[in-house]
Amino acid sequence: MTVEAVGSTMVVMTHRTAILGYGIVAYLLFLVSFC
Amino acid sequence: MPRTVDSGISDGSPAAAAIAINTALLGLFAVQHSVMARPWFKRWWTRFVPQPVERSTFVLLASLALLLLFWQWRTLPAAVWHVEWPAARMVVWTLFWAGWGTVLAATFMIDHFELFGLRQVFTAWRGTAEKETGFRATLLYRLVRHPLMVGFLVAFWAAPTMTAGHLLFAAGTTGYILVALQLEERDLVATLGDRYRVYQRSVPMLVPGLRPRQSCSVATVTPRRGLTRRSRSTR
Repeated sequence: MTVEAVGSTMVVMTHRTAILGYGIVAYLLFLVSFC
Repeated sequence: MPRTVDSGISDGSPAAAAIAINTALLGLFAVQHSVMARPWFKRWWTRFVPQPVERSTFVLLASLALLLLFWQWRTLPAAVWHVEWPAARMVVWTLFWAGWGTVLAATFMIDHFELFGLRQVFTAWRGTAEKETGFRATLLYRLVRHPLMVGFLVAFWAAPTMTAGHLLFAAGTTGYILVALQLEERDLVATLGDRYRVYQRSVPMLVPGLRPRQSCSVATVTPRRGLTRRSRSTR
């Protein structure tokens, strides 16, 4: 695997992880607000 | 942060001002909830935000609107009704908790995690395509088309002591729910066509048994992918 491929994979995984974190935070905020 | 509708801000301001503020808070929540749930808004909105976080953003902003409502809600303590008999109070409290139980249960009868956007972001994280969930007219969804809303309505109105503020909240949310359900079902009919019309003819909207069930089986209604999601996520 080339350096570029590794970098590209890291960018994709970072983006996906950010999306997952955002969704979890939104859900937790809902729980906090509702409960 | 107030814990109940009767423990909000009590600053001695005129009732008219309190009613205006509370109504505006309810209106803000209603506008956020209904505008962001419309298909045209989703199409426009997802030009700027990634598709997987569309639902989470809806949940996030709805939560912020709720927090603002809880934070700024004005107490209107005048009692509209007050149940004194302990047994009757217990019955009303039971109804109250049954309402909230229905709300929670109904979210799991569809897809709790999809309803709140978690499934979408998890699927994006895994890099896999979203799976077909299908139309699930299961359990309470065979009795009424919107058990989630039935639960809210019961919980909002089942109050042993109904204050003016609580009444305003219950009436405001009831009015909003009735309007929002029309909007939601209009979108569902536009998308599903006869499939949703069959469901409408088979199952009453909010009151079990209000409309006689017809011969067609709800279980045979199997909408396309995504349509169920709309049915449970839009208001």
